[in-house]
Amino acid sequence: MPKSSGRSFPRLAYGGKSAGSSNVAVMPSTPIGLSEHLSIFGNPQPYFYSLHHLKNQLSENELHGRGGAAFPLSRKLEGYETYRGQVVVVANGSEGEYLSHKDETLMMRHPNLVLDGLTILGTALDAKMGFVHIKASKTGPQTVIAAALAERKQIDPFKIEISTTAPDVGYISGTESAVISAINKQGGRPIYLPDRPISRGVRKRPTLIANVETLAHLALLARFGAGWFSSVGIGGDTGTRLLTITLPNGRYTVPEVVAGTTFEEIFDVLGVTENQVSFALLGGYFGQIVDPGKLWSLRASAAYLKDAGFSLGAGVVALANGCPVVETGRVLEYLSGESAGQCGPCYFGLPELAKAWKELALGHVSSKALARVSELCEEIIGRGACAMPDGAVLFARASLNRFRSEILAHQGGNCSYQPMSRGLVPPQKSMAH
Amino acid sequence: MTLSINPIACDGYGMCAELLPELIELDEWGFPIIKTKEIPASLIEHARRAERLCPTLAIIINKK
Repeated sequence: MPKSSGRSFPRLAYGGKSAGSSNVAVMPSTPIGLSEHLSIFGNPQPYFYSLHHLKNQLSENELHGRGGAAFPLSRKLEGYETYRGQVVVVANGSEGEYLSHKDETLMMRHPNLVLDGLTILGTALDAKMGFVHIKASKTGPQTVIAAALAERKQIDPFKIEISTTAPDVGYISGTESAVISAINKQGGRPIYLPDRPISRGVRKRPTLIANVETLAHLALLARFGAGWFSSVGIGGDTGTRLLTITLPNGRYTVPEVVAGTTFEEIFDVLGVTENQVSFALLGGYFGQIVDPGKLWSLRASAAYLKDAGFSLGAGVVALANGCPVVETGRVLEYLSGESAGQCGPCYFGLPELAKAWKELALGHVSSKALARVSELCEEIIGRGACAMPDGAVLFARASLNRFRSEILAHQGGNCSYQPMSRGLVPPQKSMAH
Repeated sequence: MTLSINPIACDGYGMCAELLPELIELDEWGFPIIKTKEIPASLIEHARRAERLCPTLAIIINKK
């Protein structure tokens, strides 16, 4: 019997440090090779390779995507049945978000779980082939996945190749249409795909793209069953998930947490207290900046946070010191620099939005300046080919509501926070305080 | 029939807002904002003309 079978937690972080918690464990990042992989997890149940059974097993929507949108995998599969035999499947490990490291950590640790998950989807759909899509600069995961593919070649007939993002495309490189464009060698920027990539994706074939963590969970679900998968978690969000947490010292850690675990418990295990930070980024750049007190009271669950008016996104949580108003400006400026420059409202609008916010941060606060931010948000939202402009707008709106009193306090150049030494965005793109 | 715009193809020539001001206005950078998605029967000919004459063929008329 495999030594981890039926083990409800840790799952992906098996072998990692749990500090005595049954809900939080930190992922190790040394790769697990094929023979150790098989001795720990065994093989997937053969019936998971049949689309009918796979759909049945996923029918209760237990497995939600871990790439940011939390879309149920069962619903993602809908519509592909008629394209059996033509589909291309893609494991998306491109992780465009600057602060996210969970996908690369997962690929470094469990290349075989990612490849198992992709093989299950690919075989069930009778797919032509699969790709593992990795950021061009991340040579570590590329090497580990390549080694795993070489090792599996003998036993696994499903054809999988590695593809990489375009090196000059940053934040938006992970969006589905940009992944397709990169694999098709068309520049790797988002393309206009009103009907999702279902009918016209990689090499003009119907293309199914799933996040690498989603596939790793699928690989475990296919061994131990849907009941096992849902044996931990909370209503509406079961199983476990990986987070990337930036600690106050600037280092990051990738814990696996049971869905619904409170951030208080997570930070207890990581040894961080509320008074060490002045604000936190929850859900990455498409999420919001929140007070530590608020964050500590929330739960790490996509469904729970959505109901509470937040977003977990791809699981980025960054703890920082400094002023949330200034930092919102930095994030908006960073995002405006990450625009692919393809859509007018994003290319022209985001720099204007960043500029309007900077006016507030610099203390030029007036009802006109505040109205300008709201007006730009209204003008930009819903008008891009990808989610980039909407993400920036929602980020600005959240800070506008949450930190209104601090914005007003900035009038005349005041600020209630200590200046920060290190922020949420790459240093070369930061805004002067 | 409904109106949409391929925002990547669009270069902000603004011709659509000239030809179809009832449904399209321009933002402060000269890019189209669709005021009403639904195309009333009386404007279908005008919408087709905007679709045809857009220099970057960014106007899309959807059949439903």
